[in-house]
Amino acid sequence: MKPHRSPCVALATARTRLAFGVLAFFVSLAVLTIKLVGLGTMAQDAPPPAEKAASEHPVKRGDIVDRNGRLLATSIVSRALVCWPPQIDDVEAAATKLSGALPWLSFEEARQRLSLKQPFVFVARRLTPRDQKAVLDLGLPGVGLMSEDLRIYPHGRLAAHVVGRTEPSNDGPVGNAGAEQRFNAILADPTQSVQLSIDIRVQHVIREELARAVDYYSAIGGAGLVLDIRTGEVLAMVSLPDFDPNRQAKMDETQANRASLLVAEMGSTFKLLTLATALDRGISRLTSRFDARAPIKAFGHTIGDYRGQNRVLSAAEVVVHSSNIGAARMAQKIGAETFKEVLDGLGLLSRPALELPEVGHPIVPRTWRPLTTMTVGFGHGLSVSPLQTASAVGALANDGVAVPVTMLRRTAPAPTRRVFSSDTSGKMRWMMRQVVLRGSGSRADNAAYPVGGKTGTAEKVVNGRYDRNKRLSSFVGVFPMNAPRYAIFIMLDEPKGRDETHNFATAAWNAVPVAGAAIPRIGSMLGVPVAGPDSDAWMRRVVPDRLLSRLFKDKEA
Amino acid sequence: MSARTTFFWCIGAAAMAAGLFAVGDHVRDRKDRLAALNREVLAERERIQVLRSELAFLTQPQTLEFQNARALGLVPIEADQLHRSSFLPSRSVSAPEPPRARARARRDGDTISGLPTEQSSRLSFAFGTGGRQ
Repeated sequence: MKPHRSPCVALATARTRLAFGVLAFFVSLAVLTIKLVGLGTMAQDAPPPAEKAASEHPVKRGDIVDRNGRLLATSIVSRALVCWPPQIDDVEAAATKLSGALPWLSFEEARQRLSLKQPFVFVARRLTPRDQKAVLDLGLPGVGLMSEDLRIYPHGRLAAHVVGRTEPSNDGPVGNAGAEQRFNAILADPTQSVQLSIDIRVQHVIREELARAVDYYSAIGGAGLVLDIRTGEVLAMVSLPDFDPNRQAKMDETQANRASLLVAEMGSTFKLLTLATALDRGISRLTSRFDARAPIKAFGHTIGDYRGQNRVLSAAEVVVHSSNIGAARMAQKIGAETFKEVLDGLGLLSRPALELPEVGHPIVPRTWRPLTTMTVGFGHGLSVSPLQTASAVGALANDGVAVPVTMLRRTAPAPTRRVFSSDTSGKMRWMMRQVVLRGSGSRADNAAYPVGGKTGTAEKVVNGRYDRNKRLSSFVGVFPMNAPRYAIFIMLDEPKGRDETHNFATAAWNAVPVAGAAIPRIGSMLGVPVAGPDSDAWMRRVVPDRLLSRLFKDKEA
Repeated sequence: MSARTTFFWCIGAAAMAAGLFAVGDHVRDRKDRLAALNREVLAERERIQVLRSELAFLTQPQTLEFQNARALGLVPIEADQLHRSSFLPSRSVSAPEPPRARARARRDGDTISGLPTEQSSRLSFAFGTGGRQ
């Protein structure tokens, strides 16, 4: 029989047990308290879910919009079919099921993707909701869907060269042309958007009219530009042939941006700059005479006229009749240094600072010989882009003030640079209007918006020689001439003659009518006031009527 | 430590445990609700983004031009359709017509009644009397 413990011993044992019990209880309580405090403090380290949601965007790239906020490029979430090959036990069975559920996916292609020795593989992109459901219904292990950004260009080809395009990468779409490339860093933030200067309505009109002409005259391409000459904003920039950025097709050489990247000899449109320089520097007046009776033979070359007047011409007639001989003599009088200084001031000797990657460098002769000055006088020997030409002629009409061109909508006044005096600008506006009223630009005129401008038809250089059958025909114009605001440039690359044009393929027959058709349409869109019956009254203030007989000797004078 | 103190500690601990459980449950509930709301917000944003793209696609200038031509018979404007009402020749000011003549004219419909001459000509212009389709 077990001996009884004394009451004192039993009491001491009970107290000890109780003490252990209480200690265990408090230890547990302390652990719980520490855990509670820990959870409370650790939860504050992570951002609250509500704030996270507010900063989250379904896509990873910002939008590109036009000057009126119309969407040009945006991103939406699409689902891609992906797989984790190591997790797929039976590749053949999985490929069979997938190709059965997705009719556009062949068994061979599915099997090839699923059997790749990689931890993660994209099988297909841009799945439709129906395809997504079909994949999920299969419930294949190691096969799933993944959200990714899909870049969308709602206007397709319309502004392809301006907006550019993207290519997919592991970090989402990355710009590889146009504004997408130029503003890639900004667009990488989905809260940011880029507002371009173009107006999609104007862009549409220019593209439509230009495409019609390219087709009608069987040209290999074309370019069209509209600039706001007061702000330097590019309202439309079209280059044909173009591409559909939604299809990610590879661009070939023929699809390069002819409006800003292509540099070429612009031909007779340069005569405006020659005359402006001569007038501004006091070298010539509108009434000054230039001998165009016979071709110039200088430095082993012959300079002749396309449709020679074979007489002494006034400076105004040199431009209206587009006399190469007269322009060469005028440039000769100006001299190389002065001419280069003015051309440089107009931004024709350096690459324009346009916010696009596709901007061409002008081709300036390394050695500027006396013959170079003469040929540049009528637009040969110096290759510039259509954008530069339009900008330079815009400066002529904009009171002689050059404004840098931009692809972004301006929110502040642009830095300007005076190149010609107001007086010269007024005379040149008169001169441009005369070209339309009595010269090669007549098909650009319309009753609503008085147009002024100059045509140019230049032979292309092929293998170092001028090819008479390959021409660039262009027209650069300004409207409305009573209050100049917009410059327009239209160019056709290798247009062919037609019966309706008496087989002529010069700018007067093909490029000028494009501008003539486009100007009334875009004028009303841009809110240009319609000209009144006496919209050319300003011309009499610049050149009085009594001088006309001294300026023009032809029957129209 | 007295038995009473121990008892209160036990009651306190039990109350705290119950409170913790209730708060934890409430927080979990709110978190679930917040997560659901977040998912809804993101889904809505996705839908808005798609709708914006669709709207941009449907309002392409060439689409609008085609629909205008097809449904309304509208074609691009031409230069000779553009005028300013201020350039329209003004009507000669004559003595006011007698009420009977005005009523006859209204019945025949050859003027827009009740309007001054200038306003009348502006309206007839706005209705496209000089337009061309």
